Amino acid sequence: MVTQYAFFFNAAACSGCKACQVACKDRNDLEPGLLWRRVYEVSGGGWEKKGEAWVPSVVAYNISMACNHCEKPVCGLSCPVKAISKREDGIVFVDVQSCIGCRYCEWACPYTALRFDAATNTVSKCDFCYDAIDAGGVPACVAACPQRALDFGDLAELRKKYGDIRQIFPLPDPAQTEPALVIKPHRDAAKAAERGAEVANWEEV
Amino acid sequence: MFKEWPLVAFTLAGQTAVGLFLLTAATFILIPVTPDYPMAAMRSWLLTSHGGVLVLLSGAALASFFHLRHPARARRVLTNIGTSRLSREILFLLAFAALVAGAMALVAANAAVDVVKGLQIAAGLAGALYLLSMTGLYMLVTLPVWRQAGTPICFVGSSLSLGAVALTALGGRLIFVPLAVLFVFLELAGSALFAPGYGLLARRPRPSLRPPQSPSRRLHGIGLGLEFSGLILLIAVLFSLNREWEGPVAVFAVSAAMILAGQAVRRFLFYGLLVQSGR
Repeated sequence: MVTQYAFFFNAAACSGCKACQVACKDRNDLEPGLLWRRVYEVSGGGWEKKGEAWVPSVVAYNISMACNHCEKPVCGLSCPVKAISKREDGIVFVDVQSCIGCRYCEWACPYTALRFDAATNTVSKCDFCYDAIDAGGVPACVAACPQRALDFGDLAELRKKYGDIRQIFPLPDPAQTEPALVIKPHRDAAKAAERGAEVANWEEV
Repeated sequence: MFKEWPLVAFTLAGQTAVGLFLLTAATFILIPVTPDYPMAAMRSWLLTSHGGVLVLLSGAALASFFHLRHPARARRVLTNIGTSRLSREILFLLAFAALVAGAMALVAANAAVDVVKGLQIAAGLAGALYLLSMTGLYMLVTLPVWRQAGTPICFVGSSLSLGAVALTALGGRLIFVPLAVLFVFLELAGSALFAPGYGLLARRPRPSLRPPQSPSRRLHGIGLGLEFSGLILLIAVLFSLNREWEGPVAVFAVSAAMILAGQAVRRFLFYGLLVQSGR
């Protein structure tokens, strides 16, 4: 029995096509501007001189991020009306009938997973396609990825299969919320901070 | 950031209420009741001050409803006191308001001085807890932009400075102007040095998945300038007071308005530091 559902994301394989983002919007019928899964384009660096030669020191990679259904969900801990709860299988979801729209959870989440839905005046987020999961299916984003950069499953199984890295630049310290997430880093991620990389597509996320 | 006006109103009104009450209660507790200063002489002042606290808390509560998208569901806002700092803030707000109302009722009923002081101490503790929980709400480990010394410094500074200005305004005579000058100066200095995002010694957060802040540094300067100008006027009022603590009330009113405006501008900037994704 699954005790904690988690996502695996292979940053080395992600091409930034955003098929995952579109599949999520399509499946959940999200309004324009409302994103449950976002693809961040991280880039930085430039040229550096080595001896007499100038060599490129560009870093560029993508991060596909939805809700990480954290083991310590700060959103749920912060919600004053307990509108955010965690199932036995680890999926964290929002009860929109209880939400008062204070948006404190939106502030609290370091992964910006919670998004305000103007149609319902409540917050909403990735729900791991729990109805598809319960019926034996897969999340829409995982199914849509042409690069097979996304996977899902029990967190312990994913760690055995892919390792236990949960953080690359500029994700927050995983100790804050214990995200149910496994990442295979892109080779540029290790040098991103020192080369002044930043998210280049804020308007899209 | 101007869309956060309900939160600006809520925090400034709530902090002013706490500062006003703490300074009132401290003054009352420290001044011994004697034949020269009988309880009857202080009764009117206490009732006015406590009434002012309740009006501010009511204004804060009203403003908070404009922040909620479903205020009718807010009756369940105390459900998560165990882990939610927001729930605790509302709990201590209600406790503070109830205890202040109780103290006010005791004063109105001519209760014994020691009983009034006892309830004022309890109300003061509730007010301090309200201010503490309000500060803690912004100091989550996942909110590095606000999780720094500047947040409590600015919140406590606002509480004491605006509370002292309100105490002066409600005190009848301008006897509390020196206190107001002191606390406004300290708040200005604290903000100039430590205000999140803008203070000279403020820590800049590391890159994250939150969009970078974009509020105007010029607005911070305008806010500081407004409050500094208000402080200058307040000092002018101080030096023009006579022995009966009477002075230019109109000038005091203008200085109070400038101090409040300056802090309101900087409070808008405080909320502007956390740019929400997808907007």
